[in-house]
Amino acid sequence: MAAPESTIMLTSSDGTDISVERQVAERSILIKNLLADLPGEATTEAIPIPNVNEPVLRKVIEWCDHHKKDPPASAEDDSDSRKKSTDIDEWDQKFMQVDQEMLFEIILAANYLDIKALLDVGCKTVANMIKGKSPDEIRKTFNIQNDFTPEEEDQIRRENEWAEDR
Amino acid sequence: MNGMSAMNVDSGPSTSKAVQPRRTRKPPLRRPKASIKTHPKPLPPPERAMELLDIPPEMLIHILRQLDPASFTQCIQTCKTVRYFASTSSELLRHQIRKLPGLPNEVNGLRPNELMELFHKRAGKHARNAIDINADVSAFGSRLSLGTAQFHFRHAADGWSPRLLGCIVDPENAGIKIYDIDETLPKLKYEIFPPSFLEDRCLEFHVQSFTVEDHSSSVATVVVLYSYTVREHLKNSFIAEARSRAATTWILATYCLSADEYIRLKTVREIQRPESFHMYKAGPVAISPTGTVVVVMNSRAVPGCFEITSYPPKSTSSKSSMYMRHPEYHTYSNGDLPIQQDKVKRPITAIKIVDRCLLLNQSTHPMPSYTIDGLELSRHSLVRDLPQQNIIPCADDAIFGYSGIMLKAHHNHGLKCSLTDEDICINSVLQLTFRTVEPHIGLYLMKGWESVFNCREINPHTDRARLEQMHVARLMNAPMQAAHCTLQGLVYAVSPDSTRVVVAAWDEIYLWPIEPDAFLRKECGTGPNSKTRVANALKRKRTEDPVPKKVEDPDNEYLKDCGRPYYRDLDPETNLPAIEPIRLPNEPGWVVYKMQFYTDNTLWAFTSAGLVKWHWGPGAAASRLRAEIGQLLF
Repeated sequence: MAAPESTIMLTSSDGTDISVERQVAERSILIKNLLADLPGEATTEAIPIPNVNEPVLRKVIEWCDHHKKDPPASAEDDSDSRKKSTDIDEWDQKFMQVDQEMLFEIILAANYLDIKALLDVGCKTVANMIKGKSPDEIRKTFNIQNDFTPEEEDQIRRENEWAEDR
Repeated sequence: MNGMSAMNVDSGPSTSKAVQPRRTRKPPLRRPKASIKTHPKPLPPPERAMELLDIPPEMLIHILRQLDPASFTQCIQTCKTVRYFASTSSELLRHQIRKLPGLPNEVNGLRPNELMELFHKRAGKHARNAIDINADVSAFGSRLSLGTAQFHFRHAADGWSPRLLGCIVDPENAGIKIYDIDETLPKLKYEIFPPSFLEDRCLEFHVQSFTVEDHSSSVATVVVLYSYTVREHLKNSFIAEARSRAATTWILATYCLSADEYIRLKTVREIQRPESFHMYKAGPVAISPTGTVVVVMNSRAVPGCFEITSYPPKSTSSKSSMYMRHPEYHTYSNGDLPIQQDKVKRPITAIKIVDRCLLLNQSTHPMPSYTIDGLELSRHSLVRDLPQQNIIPCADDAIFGYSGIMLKAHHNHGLKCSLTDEDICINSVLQLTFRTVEPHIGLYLMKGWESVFNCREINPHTDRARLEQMHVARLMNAPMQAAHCTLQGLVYAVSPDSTRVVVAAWDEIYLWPIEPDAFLRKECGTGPNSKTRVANALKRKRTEDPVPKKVEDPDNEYLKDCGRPYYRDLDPETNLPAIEPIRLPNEPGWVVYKMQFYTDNTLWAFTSAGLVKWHWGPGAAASRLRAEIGQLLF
């Protein structure tokens, strides 16, 4: 299926073809490099995205479309330890108001497609869900089984107690 | 097929809920080949929804990187999987350690288990080990009368444990109950009643003010200012005279508390109220080590107008009884004191005698505003006026004659003067200041310093006014905005080692962990150098980091950018190092009246719910205890 010159076609893991503006798709470093490596005529063919299904791919494209004019992320700027996990753009916060499964799928897709900014937003969203919670509350939030023995729990609790460091 | 026209939604993101089909296989993290020949095969449907632990370890670690140290501490206690990935990733642990103040040089080359231990130590030291969640909260008693309670704390010394007394006035009988408080339970130890020879059924006593001090060899000295009235139903000439005296006099009693729970009445003074006594109400009282008692009277009509009266100690050679009907006294009023009258607009709510110097504190402005030297010499003693804090808190500002709540002093010995090559010493002190006027209202750390040619350590209570002062850090998010202002004002406490500062505004309690040495001693406040900074990423940021510029003149005063390498976060408003608070767990409506640390990780407070303890040290496990203590309830 041919697409206009400024658009490309992506095929999700469940076989659905989605037309995307090239500029939008190139928020993904993986697709950008792929397109750069391909000869010109090959870009008219659909590009398979074998690990991302249609709903997730559409969400990712939605995010890329909103952020298509964003400047490219500076290299390794995540080293700034002063950044807080709560620093998420308002639109992104709303975008990430999805169920947990979709959230993790978006994170995986962002990692696979090499969209660092989206990956950061996803991870920060999960971090915000953890922030301020006790271990029990975190377990409930993410359906995690407590597999520590009581002895191990005691040991871990002691590690976290006040310790002199002078 | 939907094209991008359907995707161009700028008004807001969609919120998808269902994802079908589901996958179980994790995606490859390598880049796929540049080929589009093969059509992907649909993946088999998953057995269950994807969860946090289903994502690849590197993604999990990336999420853990985003957490603040307190949340990271909590997260690694959830299960073995998270703990394993966290405790084996050196890069993650270094990243988390870097989020804590005072990155140590030796972090480079440490193994993961050593990094984890280091993280726990530093998180504990800087109270970033989730004490807002883990702190135990114990409440004893159910209600207290507002403004009738106070703490008395004696620092640990000469092998003795620290001692904390909690004192409450019983309005029914003017008794003062004194509880001995340790790290566990408050125990009723002493109960002081009005002097027995005055205790008559026709008299009704009221405690106007009291203080507990530990100047003598006894456990504590208690000074109580009583007023009394004569009951109406009794009518005879004696009662008439008593009623007349009750209208013009108060009783000032001094007690000594011994270790064996014995209470000795030391002196009783029958003192005259101020001439226009109806215009005044009793303020705080204090007693000096030699026995001079000081009473403050605040004007009811003119805010900030007050009188200070000092009563010399009873002469040891005197054979008179402990009762003094017309004791010798000296009175100072605002007009007598060479201070700027427009500086004080609030009543004096606390006083303290330190080294023959009287420190006066005002409500909602918990720092000494004036000192009066030589209180016991004569009424014409020197009175020193300390300016209020109405300066712009800029790190490079130098201010003279400015003072705050004392935190720590340091004497830097054996230095060379860069100009004259003479031997000098540097005295420096770190103080806590409340800035209450615009701009940049807030809580600050302020450093005062002086160079001295003769080796002489500073007296932190009396010598601070002459020091040159500068703000060195801002304690962020202090509850000082209008929304926090209540009649109760701000209540503060500093831990015995000055590494914790708490401020309570109504029922909100904020704690700031601080490292005073980072501002006083260069070797403690200097951050890692370029050779030892562990992460390449951090090196890239070095130009933005507030690392110290190379100091040509080694040490000396350690003034330029002191503390900045230690606290790498900066307040954008003032460009000072920013120290973030932790909010202690407290029930809504538990109004805090007084606070006092017992140790650096145990805080006690008189609240509307009784005596409440917060503990975040060993054994703390977010427990909540409610206990009733009969004697505590009025």
